[in-house]
Amino acid sequence: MNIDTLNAAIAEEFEIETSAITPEASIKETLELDSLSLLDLVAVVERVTGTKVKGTELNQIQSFGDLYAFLEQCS
Amino acid sequence: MVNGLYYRRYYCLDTDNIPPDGTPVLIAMNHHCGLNDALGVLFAMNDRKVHFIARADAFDIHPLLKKFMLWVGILPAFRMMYQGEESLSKNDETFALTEQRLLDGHTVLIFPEVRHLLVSYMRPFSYGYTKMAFQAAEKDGFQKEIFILPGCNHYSAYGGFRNQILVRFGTPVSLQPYYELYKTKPRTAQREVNKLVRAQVSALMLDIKDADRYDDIEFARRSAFCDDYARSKGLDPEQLPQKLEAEKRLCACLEGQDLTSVKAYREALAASGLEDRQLASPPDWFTQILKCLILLITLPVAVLAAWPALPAWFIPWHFTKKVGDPALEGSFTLGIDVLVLMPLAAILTFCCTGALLGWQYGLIHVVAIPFLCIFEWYYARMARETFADFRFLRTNTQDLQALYRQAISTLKTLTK
Repeated sequence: MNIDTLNAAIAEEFEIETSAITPEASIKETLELDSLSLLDLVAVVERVTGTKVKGTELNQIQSFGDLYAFLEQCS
Repeated sequence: MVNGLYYRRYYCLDTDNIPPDGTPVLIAMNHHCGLNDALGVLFAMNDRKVHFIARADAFDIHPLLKKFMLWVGILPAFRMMYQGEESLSKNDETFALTEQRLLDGHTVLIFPEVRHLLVSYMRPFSYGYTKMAFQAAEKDGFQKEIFILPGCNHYSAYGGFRNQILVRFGTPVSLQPYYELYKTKPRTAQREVNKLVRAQVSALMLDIKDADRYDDIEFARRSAFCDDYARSKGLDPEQLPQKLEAEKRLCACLEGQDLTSVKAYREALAASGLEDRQLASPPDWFTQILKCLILLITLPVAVLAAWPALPAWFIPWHFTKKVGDPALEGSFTLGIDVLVLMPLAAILTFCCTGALLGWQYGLIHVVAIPFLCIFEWYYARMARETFADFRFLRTNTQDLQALYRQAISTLKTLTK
């Protein structure tokens, strides 16, 4: 999994600066996630990494660092 | 009729801000009490049908209820936390219907906080409402000007009867200036609009921002001190709009301050089972005996008024307890009492009293039902308070009174 590619795709989808995506940053706060946009994040993750994740699983993840670790585990 | 019986006072402010019927308007408000919040807006808009969105599982309670909800213009919203992730795609239909209603010039009411909660702070908004509004505009080729109208609701108390409710509207936010931005950056446009709407809702409602001291500030604004504070600022605490203004000012004074003494008093009070009003104006034996006499003298009326006042109180209370969501008490009360119990009570009362004493007396009894209910609810409140005051008089409250004085001294210093 290429973290830079994933970050770039997330930044493009959510119209934020890539620099805002750091391992420590909160996913919910950075992306201003709600249940609808959570599904958009699921779609981006699946498109870039090929990993199928559930919105409920992503909803439990706090930071981008946790997300990378989670995806690493899944692959 | 519902307003008069259920609420002591209903305030609807700044209705001039509501765009005329035929304009696509999406109202975005804070969300305290399920159905009550929605009805508060419906009462304000006699000139149009307002569509609103409710939890999808409410539609599954009974097929007749589902038909009724759809008929009055309620649409189902599926949420991950209630219906699971897979159900979210079903929202597309609701989105499409809502967008069409907007384009047809209707008014749609949405609570972007999603869940109702009995708290005095603004929670994060879900972007569904901005998405809906922009998608409606997009469907129409960005020809129509669509508005989002920020609003707030506020209650003097959440449970029981005869409270005050306030509904207030802010300035409509036109989406038109954001159409170009939306075409290239839809999320950014939604964020910009959301920011504007949130700022207005926050200014309209009581929004306690100090999360660390929230419990203490909430306690202070519900205490007898807040009423005294309101009066000291020339505001009438009996008038909910003025009380809200006083609460806002009080909370602004307390945010970020050292409220250790307030916390100590709040915790000791909770442990004692006593009430703040008793510390603020301690009851005396003479008044209590007088109250007991009044309760005894009026007992026959209370017995007569027990039907239908007690079932009207007990049945919704029972359902609220069963569901375990105190924010639903108002919804159950309004839903069960207004739609089922009161009409049924009127028919039964007319038949029984009419058959026993004559039809004219049956009619008089039916007309008296609202007054009897109001009497009974006040009677029950007075009885409860009298018993609580007797308990207060028999309790040693010296330590609590010392804590009370310290808390009041802190509050007075901070609000000078």
